[in-house]
Amino acid sequence: RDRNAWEIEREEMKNRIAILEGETRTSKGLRTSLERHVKLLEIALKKEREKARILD
Amino acid sequence: MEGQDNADELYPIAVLIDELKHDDVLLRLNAIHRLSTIALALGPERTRDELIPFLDDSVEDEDEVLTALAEELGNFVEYVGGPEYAHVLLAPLENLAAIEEPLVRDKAVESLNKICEQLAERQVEEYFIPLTIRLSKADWFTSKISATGLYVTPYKKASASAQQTLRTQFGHLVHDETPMVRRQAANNLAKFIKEVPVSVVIDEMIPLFQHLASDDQDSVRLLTVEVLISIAEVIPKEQQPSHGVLLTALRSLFEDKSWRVRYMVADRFEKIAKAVNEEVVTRDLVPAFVKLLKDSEAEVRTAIASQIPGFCNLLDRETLLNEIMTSIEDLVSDPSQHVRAALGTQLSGLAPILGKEETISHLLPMFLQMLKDEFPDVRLHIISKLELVNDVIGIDLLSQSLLPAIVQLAEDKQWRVRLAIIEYIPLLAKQLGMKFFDEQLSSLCMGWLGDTVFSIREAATQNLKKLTEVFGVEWASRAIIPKVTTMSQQENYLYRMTTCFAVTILAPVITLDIIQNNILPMMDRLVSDPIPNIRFNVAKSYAVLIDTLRRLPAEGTLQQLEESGSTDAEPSPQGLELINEQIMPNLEKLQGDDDVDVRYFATIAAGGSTTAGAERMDTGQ
Repeated sequence: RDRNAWEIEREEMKNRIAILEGETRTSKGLRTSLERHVKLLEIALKKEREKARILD
Repeated sequence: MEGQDNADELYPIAVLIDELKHDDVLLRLNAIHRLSTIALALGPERTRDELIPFLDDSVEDEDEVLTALAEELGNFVEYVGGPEYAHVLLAPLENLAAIEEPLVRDKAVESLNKICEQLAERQVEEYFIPLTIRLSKADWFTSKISATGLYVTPYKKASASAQQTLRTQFGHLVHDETPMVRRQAANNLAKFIKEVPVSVVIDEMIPLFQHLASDDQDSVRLLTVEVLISIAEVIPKEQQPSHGVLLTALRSLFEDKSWRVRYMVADRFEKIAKAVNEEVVTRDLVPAFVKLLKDSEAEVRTAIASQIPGFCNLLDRETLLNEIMTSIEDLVSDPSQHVRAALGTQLSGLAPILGKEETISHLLPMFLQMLKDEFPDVRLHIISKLELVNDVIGIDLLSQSLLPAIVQLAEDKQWRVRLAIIEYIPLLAKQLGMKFFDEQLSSLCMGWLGDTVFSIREAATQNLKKLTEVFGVEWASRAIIPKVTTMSQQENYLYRMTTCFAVTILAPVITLDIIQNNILPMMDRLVSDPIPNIRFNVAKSYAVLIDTLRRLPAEGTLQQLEESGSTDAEPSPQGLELINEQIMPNLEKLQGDDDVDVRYFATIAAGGSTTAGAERMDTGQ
């Protein structure tokens, strides 16, 4: 019975690891996408500024 | 050249495409929710020319993502250059409104209506109404269902001729051959009616209503109850008699062969009664109400029971007493417990309507019978609403008639019945007040402590704790503690045992003073009790007391401390003193007892407490 309990616990731990790994993957993806959005906005802002300078 | 590459890669739509290709749904969802960033980076002009067309035809994804897209597009007006360009958003939303998944369509319709609010009248005529018509004429019923939701908002802004077109088109939807579309049309007809002038309601909407009300599907008919209410609300009450059709429709709804339709009518009865004129109420609704009270389906009876106070409020007392009361009285002995429970919640609402005398002669007998109901919910509902009755007939009369019933139940032979009534005591006490309780109920509560059944004694001690929460510590020290002390001197050891339990349970709700002056002396005596059972229970109670005293501030009780949530209240040094001087010596004595169980529990109480104390100090430093 002890062995059973031990195996169940092991499985639960494995599941937990899998869930946590999935979460990190997602947040990693989220981060890269957000970083790209920042760059995107940076470029857009630069262009806007240039335009404004030309108008001045 | 590298800068060029970089810029290409960061071209907003390219980024979006990239993100929408990701495997992880969460990431795609996130990309959609951040769509505004892309639009902002593009600027309004390019959003209109590039982003919207892209979304228009190239997005195929899970329903979840599409729902998010439909939602986002509803807030997109500012990103496409303000209201004058808002109509470009209609195309992608039109596609989403034709999708099979209802959640996506609902969101798309919601967003379309939101955008429509911001459109100018010309745009509504030029873009929005054609869209509505297109969806209404689509082959697939999903589009038509979406279309039914798109009539109300543009109607207000349309010109007279466009309004005419909209009404005709809506008429076609009402006459659609699929019941799914007719259902949604019925749902939206009620809202539509509120937007059109009375003359149009009479000429055009009533025929539509009649058509739906005579539908062969009961799922369609039951939705017409709402339509009927909104028609009746719009037409002025003095004009209603001239529209016999409405009355006929109403009567046939009351007697519909499908109980679901009757349920709907019963559920909205009060609203219907408020919308029609008084003559109809007395002539048609009163008999209908009585009939529904006697309906063959328990669900219908439950629904109509919930309308009792609301509807009776609209009637004069004569009709109420002569025609309705007897039917309500029949419900008290209804075979379905749900009906009785629904009646139990509503019955006390009649007291203010009936007035003092009628309440006494009609309601009280019903109350008393329902108090004896075998289904606990019925009793609970009756007891929990006693306040209303109390306000009308006064505490004296109420207690005169209620008290015998409670006493009878409290002394019932079946211990389960006694247990049930104990559970309601705190509630009763809260509603009826301290004075009533002291005079009538307190002896009852103390009596339970000496019950022959353990569960009753246990519930009674729990009850004391709850009563202390209701009435406060002072009341407890005056009413409960002396009784508990007397009990500790009883012959039968079971009573003395109950004392120990009571101490354990009451510890969190009493103050330091009471523990010092009343509880500890009493425990001192019990330590040398001849029965080992008592002695080890004393040890157990000591364990709880030690724990309480460790945390108890000089003022107030532990429970108050926990409720206020403050952690800064210092435990009183007096409490620690009491532990060391009064409890510990007794525990040491018990540790040297002859009985093995007493020694065990005494060691736990003393030993367990010292380690707990050490830990507390560790964390404190």
